[in-house]
Formats: sequence, C-alpha cells, structure tokens
Amino acid sequence: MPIQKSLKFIKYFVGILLISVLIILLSYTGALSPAEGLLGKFTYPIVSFVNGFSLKTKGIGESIKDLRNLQNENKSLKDDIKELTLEISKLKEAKEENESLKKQLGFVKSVTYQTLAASVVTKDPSSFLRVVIINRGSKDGIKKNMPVISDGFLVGKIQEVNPDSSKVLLLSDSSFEVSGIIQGSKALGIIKGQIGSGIAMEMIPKDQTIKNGDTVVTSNLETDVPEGLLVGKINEISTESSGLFQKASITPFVNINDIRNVIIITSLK
Amino acid sequence: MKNFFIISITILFLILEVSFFANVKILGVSPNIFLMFLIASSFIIPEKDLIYLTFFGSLFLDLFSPMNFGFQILINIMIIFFVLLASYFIFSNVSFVLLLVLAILSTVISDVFYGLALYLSGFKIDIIFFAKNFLVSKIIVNSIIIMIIYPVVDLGWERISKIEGRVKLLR
Repeated sequence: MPIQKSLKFIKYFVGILLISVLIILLSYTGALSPAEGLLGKFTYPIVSFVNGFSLKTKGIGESIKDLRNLQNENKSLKDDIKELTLEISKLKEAKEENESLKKQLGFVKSVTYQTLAASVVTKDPSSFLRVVIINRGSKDGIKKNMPVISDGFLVGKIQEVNPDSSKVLLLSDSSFEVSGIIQGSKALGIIKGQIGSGIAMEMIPKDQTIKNGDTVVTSNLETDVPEGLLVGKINEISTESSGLFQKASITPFVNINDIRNVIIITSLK
Repeated sequence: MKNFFIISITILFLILEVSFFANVKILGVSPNIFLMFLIASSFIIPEKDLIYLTFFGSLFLDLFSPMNFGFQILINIMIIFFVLLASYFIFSNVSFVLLLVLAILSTVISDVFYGLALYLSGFKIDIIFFAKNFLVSKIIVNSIIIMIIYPVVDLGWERISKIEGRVKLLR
C-alpha cells in the first residue's frame, strides 16, 4: 500500500527534479536572466518594504543597547574633533601648497567618477555569504565587477546583474578580492574578505613597515576599481603561515552589515 | 479555502525568510522558515500540493540566492522527497520527536548542499568553519521554528476543513 501511494508522487518529483536541473543549466548560459529580472520586478518592492520595517525593528533594539555607550563615545568624539580640527588646518595648508606645486608643474590629472545611487532591497539570508541585492540593474548601465561604495567607502563589487536588480558581493565575503595599498608605507597587498565576517590585507611584503591605525585604500592595479577608495584601518598585524608575507586585519570605515543605500561607480571620467 | 490558507501562509513565511530574518538573526543565524514549514506541512497537506509549494516557493528563494537559479529548488525538493518517503515507510505517526529529528537532518542536509552549490557556483566556502560556528545554532533555531509552525498549520488546516465540511452540509 505505501509503495503504491509513494509511486503516485514519485512521478511529480522526477518531473520537478528534471525541471530544476534544466533551470540550473539555462541559468549557467544566462538564458534565464530576463525571466529572473521580471520575477524580481514584482517581488523586490514587497520584500524591500518588509526589509525596511525589519531594519527599523533592528534599529530600535540596537538603539536601546547603544544608549549606555553613548556618553563615553560622546566624550571620545569631542576629543577627536579637537585633534581633527588641528589636522584639517594642517591639511588645508598642504592642499594649497600641493595645488600651487601642481600648477607650477603643469599637472592636470584629476579623477572623477560617474556614479549611480541605489537602495539595498535585501540580504542573502544564508550564513554562508555576504551578498546584498540592490534595485539597479543592466537597464541602468550596471555591469559585473563595478565597485560599490557607501558613505564614500568601498563596500563591495557587483557580482551578478539582472535587468532591474543586481547582487553585490560585500567586502567582508571570503570570495571578495581587490588590490590595495597602505597609505604612508605604500605597501601593496590583496584586500580579502575573511571566512566569518572580517576583512584583511594579505600578501604584504615582509620588508614593508606597517603599523596599527594605517589607512588602507584601493591601489591602481585594478582595471574596474579606481585607486584611492578608502577601505579601512589596520587593527592587527601578523605574519602569514608561509612566513614570507605580512597580514593585516582591517576595520572598515563603514558598518558593512548595515548598509541601506549605496553608490555604484559606473565609469571613470 | 484550504488553498488560500496554505498559499497565504507560504507567502508570509517566504517574505519573512528573505527580508525580516535576513536582518534580525536569532542566535546569529537566519532560520530556514520555509523549509521547516514544508517539512511540517508534509504531514498535513496532500503530496501533490506540497510538491507545487516546494517548487514555486524555492523558485522565489532562488531570486534572493547568490547561487545559480534552480539550486534552491533542487535542494528543497530532494529534502521533501526523502521526508515523504520516510513518512510512508518509517514513521506512521507524527510526533514532536520526529519533527525534531527531521529538523536536524534537513538543516544539516540543506546546509551541506547549499555550501556545495555555492562552491560549484564559484564561491570560496569553508564548510567546516560554518559547521563549527553556525550549524548548532541553526539546528536549535530551526527545531524551535518547526515546533511553532507545525501546530499553527495543523490547527489552521483542521479548522478550515471543519468549516468546509459545514458549508458542504448546508449546501
């Protein structure tokens, strides 16, 4: 009796299994991209709405938790402001001097980016990857590997493009890689997301002197990513297991897990 | 009416999984609400309906997954297939212990296949790291979720069946 009963649904399963294999194969060829885009067009606005609500809920919970730390943080920020004001005045002087020297040398190179703003629809719910979906796609000129920034800091790269949406691989994902440079020492390395959620710069030559607090930016070795995009600050330095290179853990300037709006650098002028 | 109930609850769980629980994590993980709902429903709703729900629901999840389209359907349909087979040949009555066992097994199988599918899609995945850091939390969360979902679906289904029965009698 159970065999007869089970045989009834086995044919449905076989059918669905074949369809899913066919879908996977078609997806590899990119043939399903328009259908995926069309489905996303209807579902993303609803999910985006609920996502906004959940972020608010999360925000309320975190606000209560953070209230205790606010006083200490306020004191520390006031001290920082004093230091930064001094730093700004020094930098202004340096900027003026730099501009004057550039004029004298006839140096005209200046880099500006063409950008496009986007909102985060939702995140990949699994614990495996750090991926977010944004509401801009190929119709807006988005292409694979374009850099994505938030508040002026690098947060990821475009990983997959659909007509009306795209998936962004975040900086903290272990599959993310971009060439970077440490300001000051000019040491080159590879900025990689770490398994878990951290970020680190690897393959830094051992003879380079680097220290905690140094700023890490993107280097000019990438074709898709402009140089000088701020990534984060070094918080820990160690030697790689091979013993040939140094590895620096980086604290990003922006909370990558809580981004809501991003900017995509579509081209360099 | 039964179809309306099941479709509404499916949509609710799917939207919760891809939006609310993508941000608000429990014990550091997002629960597989839809998969737990499918397993709980496998003892309540007809097999044919369950297969269609698995297909269309997983298709929706594929939209939000970084993997190639179709992997989520493949993973979920295989899990539901084994759950149904087991319910025919091994388990005759549904119990909380059975739900717990199924929640644990399906979480492990789902995560292993998900990791494998991501690896095949070209991502760097350390399954051992995830097993150490997230799997236990996910098993606990999914087990709690299935214990909540099963009575809700069962009670809803039973009440709607009674209402439908009364309507038929009145006609």
